[in-house]
Amino acid sequence: MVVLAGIAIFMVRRSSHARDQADARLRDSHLNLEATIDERTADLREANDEIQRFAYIVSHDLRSPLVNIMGFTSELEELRGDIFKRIAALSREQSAASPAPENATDTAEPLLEGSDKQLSEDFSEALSFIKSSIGKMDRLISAILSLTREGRREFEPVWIDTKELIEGIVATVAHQAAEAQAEIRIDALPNIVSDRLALEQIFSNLIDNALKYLKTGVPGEITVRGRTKLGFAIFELSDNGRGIDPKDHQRIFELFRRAGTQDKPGQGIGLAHVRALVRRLGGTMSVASELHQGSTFTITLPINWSANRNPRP
Amino acid sequence: MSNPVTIIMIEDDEGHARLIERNIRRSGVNNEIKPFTSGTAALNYLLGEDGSGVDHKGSALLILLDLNLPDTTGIDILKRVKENKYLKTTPVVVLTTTDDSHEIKRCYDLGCNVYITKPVNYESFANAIRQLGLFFSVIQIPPAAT
Repeated sequence: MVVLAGIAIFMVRRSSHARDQADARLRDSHLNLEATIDERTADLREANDEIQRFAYIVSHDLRSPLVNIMGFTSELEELRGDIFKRIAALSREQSAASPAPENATDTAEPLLEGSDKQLSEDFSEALSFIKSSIGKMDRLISAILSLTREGRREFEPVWIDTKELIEGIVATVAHQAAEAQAEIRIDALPNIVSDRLALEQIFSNLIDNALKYLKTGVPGEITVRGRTKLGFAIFELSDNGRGIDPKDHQRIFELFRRAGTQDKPGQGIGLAHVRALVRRLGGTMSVASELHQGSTFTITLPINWSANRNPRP
Repeated sequence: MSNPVTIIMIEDDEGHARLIERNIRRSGVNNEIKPFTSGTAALNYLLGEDGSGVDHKGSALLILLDLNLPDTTGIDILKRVKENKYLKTTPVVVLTTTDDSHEIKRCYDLGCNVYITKPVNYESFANAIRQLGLFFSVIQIPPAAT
């Protein structure tokens, strides 16, 4: 008995010793892991800051030459007017037989004929392509600028009455909604602690998109629903619009990428921006959609977000 | 603008400088425009050999300033001008591509008189400069002195 008890005690001691050792090792490796994570996070943050600065400088410096290109293109356009007016006048002088037109004022388009007219039109066409491209480039640069500016803004968690916030957004798009014969319904929504401006941008982008990409001729129905699950608020924005081909579901979230029929103006920024904001707020977003079947965007956000617990990625 | 006022244009991009000059002229302003393409050259002219700015005592100047210069920042020039006892009353018009609100506030804090963002759209650009020209033709400018 005594021997057995002795062995038992010995074994218990040994196993508890082993357990203590394992505990200590676990604690060590845990600490190590945390230190490594901190280090990596700091590295990532630094890299991210650098990219932000880079994007800002690039977009800013690209603007300056653009002002020149646009400026002198417009100056050329004025010169074009003068040159062709002169050509018209000269050719009239040469064919002295034809009487001078009565409306030959400074402002009237010069009367050109045959090959001169063709030249003038080619000239205008070239200029208008240059100008529209500059306009497009300017919009892209502005978009990059505002994205990087947005990326540098510090988020501030406040308590938000989500339904009220979305009703506010809906009020601002009432005109577009009426034009598209769309009805926007807002169900009961969970309130959350988050950044107000970011949330406004997220929902107004999604509602804008829903209104923009409705099916022509079909009255729009847009619904915002919400529920909570394990500390997260889940928002769903559904529409009966034109839908998105599943092969494009990734693409639509990429910067400067768009999908489907390109009949609406846009730069392909909205959703990329929205997803970046959702991520910074510690959430995720996804889309469920089929072509012609409408779309549902789902956004999951922490109910009680705080800037410290979810440091910037 | 009473005639002897000289416009000092500090702009590194010669294209911008040309466009600005053309549009100022189109608004009917015929004052002398002295262009500088670098901050150093402009400061040398403004502050003079001895760096005191005494050379401009009694002359009326108006400064058109771009912020993104290769050698010094426009902010630095603005600061130096506004700190100089002869030049501090000289109106400074910041004309730049930046529309960053921090930058704008900073310039006004330092005593810039007007801040204008250069629009890429040329119609707006030309318009802005012509309006500025009209503004130049009516504002009163004190002689840099005392």
